[in-house]
Amino acid sequence: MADNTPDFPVRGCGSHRNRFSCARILFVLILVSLILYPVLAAPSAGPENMSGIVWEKTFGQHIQGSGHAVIMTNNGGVAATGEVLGADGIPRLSVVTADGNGNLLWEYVGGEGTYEGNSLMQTPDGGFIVAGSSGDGVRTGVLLLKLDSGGRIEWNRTFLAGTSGQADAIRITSDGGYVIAGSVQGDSGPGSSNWDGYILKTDDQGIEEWSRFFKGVKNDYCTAIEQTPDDGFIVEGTTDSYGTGGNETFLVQLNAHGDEGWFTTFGGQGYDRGIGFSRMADGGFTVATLSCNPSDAATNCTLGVIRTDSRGNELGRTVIPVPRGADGTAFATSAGGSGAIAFSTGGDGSNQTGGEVLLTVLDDTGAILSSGSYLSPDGLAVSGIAVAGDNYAITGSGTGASAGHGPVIMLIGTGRETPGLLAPTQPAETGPGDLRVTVREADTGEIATDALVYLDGSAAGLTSESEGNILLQHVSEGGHSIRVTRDGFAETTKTVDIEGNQNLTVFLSPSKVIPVIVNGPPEGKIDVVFVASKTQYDCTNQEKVATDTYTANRTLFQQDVSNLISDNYLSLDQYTSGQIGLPSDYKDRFNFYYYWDKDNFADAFDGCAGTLPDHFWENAPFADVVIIVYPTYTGLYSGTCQPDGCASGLGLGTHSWVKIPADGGKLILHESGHAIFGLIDAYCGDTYYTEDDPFPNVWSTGAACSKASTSWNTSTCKQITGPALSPGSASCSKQFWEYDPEPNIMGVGVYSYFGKFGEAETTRIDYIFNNIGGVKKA
Amino acid sequence: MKLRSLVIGCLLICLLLVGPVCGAYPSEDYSKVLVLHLNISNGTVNEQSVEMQYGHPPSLGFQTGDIHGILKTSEGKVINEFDLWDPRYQLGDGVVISDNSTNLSIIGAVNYSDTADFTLVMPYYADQMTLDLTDKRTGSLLKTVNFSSAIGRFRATYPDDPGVNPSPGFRLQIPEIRLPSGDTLAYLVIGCGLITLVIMMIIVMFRKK
Repeated sequence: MADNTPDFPVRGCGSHRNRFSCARILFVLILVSLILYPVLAAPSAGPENMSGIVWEKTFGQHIQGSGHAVIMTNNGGVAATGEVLGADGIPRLSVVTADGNGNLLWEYVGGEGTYEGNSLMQTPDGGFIVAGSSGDGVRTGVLLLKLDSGGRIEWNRTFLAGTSGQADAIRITSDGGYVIAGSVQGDSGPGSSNWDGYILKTDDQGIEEWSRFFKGVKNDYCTAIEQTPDDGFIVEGTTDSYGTGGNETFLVQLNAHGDEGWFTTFGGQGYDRGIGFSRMADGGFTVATLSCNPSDAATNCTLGVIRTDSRGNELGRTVIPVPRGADGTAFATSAGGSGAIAFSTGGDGSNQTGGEVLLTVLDDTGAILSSGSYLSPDGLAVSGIAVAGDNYAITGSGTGASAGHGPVIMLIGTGRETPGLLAPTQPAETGPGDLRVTVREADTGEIATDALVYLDGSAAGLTSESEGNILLQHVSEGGHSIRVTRDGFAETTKTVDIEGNQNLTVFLSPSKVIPVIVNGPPEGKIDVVFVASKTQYDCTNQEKVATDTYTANRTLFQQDVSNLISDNYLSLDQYTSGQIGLPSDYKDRFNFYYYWDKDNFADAFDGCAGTLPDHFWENAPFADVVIIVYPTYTGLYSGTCQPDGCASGLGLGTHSWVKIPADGGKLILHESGHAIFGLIDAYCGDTYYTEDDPFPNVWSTGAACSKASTSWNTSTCKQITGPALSPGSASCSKQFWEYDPEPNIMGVGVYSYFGKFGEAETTRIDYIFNNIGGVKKA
Repeated sequence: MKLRSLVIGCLLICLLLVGPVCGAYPSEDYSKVLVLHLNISNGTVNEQSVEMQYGHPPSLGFQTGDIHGILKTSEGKVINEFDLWDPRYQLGDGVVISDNSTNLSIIGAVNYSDTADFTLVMPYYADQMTLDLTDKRTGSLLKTVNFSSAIGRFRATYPDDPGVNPSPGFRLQIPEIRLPSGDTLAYLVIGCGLITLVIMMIIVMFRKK
């Protein structure tokens, strides 16, 4: 047989000769894969894509019907309540349940006098509690209906608190009872026509325990309610009686007995309507409010998702435009805190191809995670939405040509869970005892990556680059602290009560202390912090005047600070004695910052040295010296005017600050001579003298002065004296001696172009530089 | 030579793996301070609030003044002492325009107020318990500020802070090894797998040789 072996060498790895070559190739491949891994393995950012409609169905064969509220059930299905119109033309309450594939399990239609269901929850026994409206033919009121798991009625109650009334929200309370938020009309007696908010608390049999009215001079409505961990309640509603005018969304706190606590409104000049809210893990709230322009309400609406603290104070909001022609809007949150908004458009009955449902998914802070649009075959006009994991059940009325005979339910899956049978209603992202901490920037709502998170004071890790969060696993139940730090932001600590698994969002505000030049940790440097003044002084009228020179122009303040630093502190070698000299790296022994709190500025003319912004020391505890900068004096300066420079402190350290004008020449060096270097005034006046050891610049005797340097003697050391400052006054003379000649920055030379720190003063400055942070001169 | 190259190569791989995991972490900062809001009125110092918080302290020991501060442990041992400026005094400087506007002079004014609010920021030391403030001129004790409540509140909020828990006797400080979470953990696992692969490759290569 012919040898078919090719005459070129086989490049296999089996031979010893080639083993090292193969090893090199493999080695290089692994090396390349390692280098590329971080890039290739990085999770993709950006919104997820929604997979689509799992199913959409109309339940019932009535003349008309619509769903008002929907929930996910604990067997992976859905339940909706609403109203249907039968052959007799009378509306009746409707409840339908379906499995996860959209197969109808049962339908309940209420008897005569039950008008509609607006909210429902599944009870621990697998049944349902439904709230809506019913009436006796004359009056309507709040309906409470209990069904068992098979759709059979157990009991129903009607609460007639006025001539008209309805419930819009129901929650199961921690004692097994129920709390209902709704509205009643005519509760103030005959002839009263205003609507008032109505809160009703019952036991587990629907027997009233207490009720409260939210009253005003105009119409007010309560539309949502949640129980808080202290067994109190937060109620959302819409008020025309309170706020700044027009309808506004409100939150009101009630204690466990229904007594009112704090109250807050959200809104503006338009018509605002609360459409839902949720309580976040940190005790704050996410509030959804629909705002419409009164002049063009049909086409000019926005939906605001407002983040608040635990007392309803607004922290920020996400504003989402409502699509033009929207005929339905609904908002809901999951047990994990994430939310969803559904809008519907085009389902006006004339659209033979159905309508469009727009779904916007939010995280637990109200920030948009993703959005998608879905063509509804039944022309779904949205009334209610429920969220469970990545699935969204939406209900409403069918307005398409082939629909409208019962509540319509659409199920949308986002693809991360198996379509069809729904996932349990618990959030799937975390396990038992897990706490997912998401960090966001308070100003923008953007996720904050690489934020360092501490659990109970111990570092736990960084927030991820993809989602800005970190999962803290197996956190024990009870109270914990979450501290978050990030460069450029003020550190924040949140306390959280862990019950099972939770999500927590921490918002970081920009730091009020902004680095200008930072050469190292505060402990080893002279830390100088500049603060803007909101006042200046009018010497002509002898009065302090407010100024927005800096408060309205941060850039100008930054420029002035930059100039003050470069012209003075970083030019110190020009203003000190060359005979003594400074450390060659003296510029690196400073750190410079400025402080900016848009709501709090310094007042340079509150007392001699002025006052600092509130909470300054909590935000900048490391400050060795603070420089309050005011723009300039106005008017004609005279000796009787306010001091233009003033020091509160002699030597750097805690609680040491000065004030100076931005255009004060070397006055900043004079005041810094006091507050940073502990130098004493070398001019003669009604000021403070002491021999400030070590290396003082004034001495209590001439002999002490002349001994301070071998090159000095009693003739070079001179007593501090000065001319009379006004005609007829005595000449000035002090029992202190100085060496440094004029023009001296610590003397009258502060106003001289040629003013400098002399040898004695430079020696003291050099001493401070060489000892700050334990640094010793080589 | 080849063995050395491979060893260096492996070390390089380890560095590449460890770098992204460890190098990106900003340093943990556990520095703490005590912020004291005080008032001095007619020679009496009153405590308005004392709180402990995270933060870096200012430099102490460079200030001149008539108040002396002594930080002590719970057993009365001196931790640090320093002088403080008396906050009732402020040193004003003003300009005087003499006969003509080109002749400027300076005048000083010591501004004194019987009462003054002031804030002291003290560094936190282990077992730090009090700050004594004395008047250097008279030697009288102005105030003893006790930090125990503030430190207790801080410990309750941050029980796992490595610097605040009382340590009975000597305690060996071993840094806790923390498993990174999320993406980083996955990266570490795969990285370890690759290291193992490289080591196995080297072993196989030299055994055959």
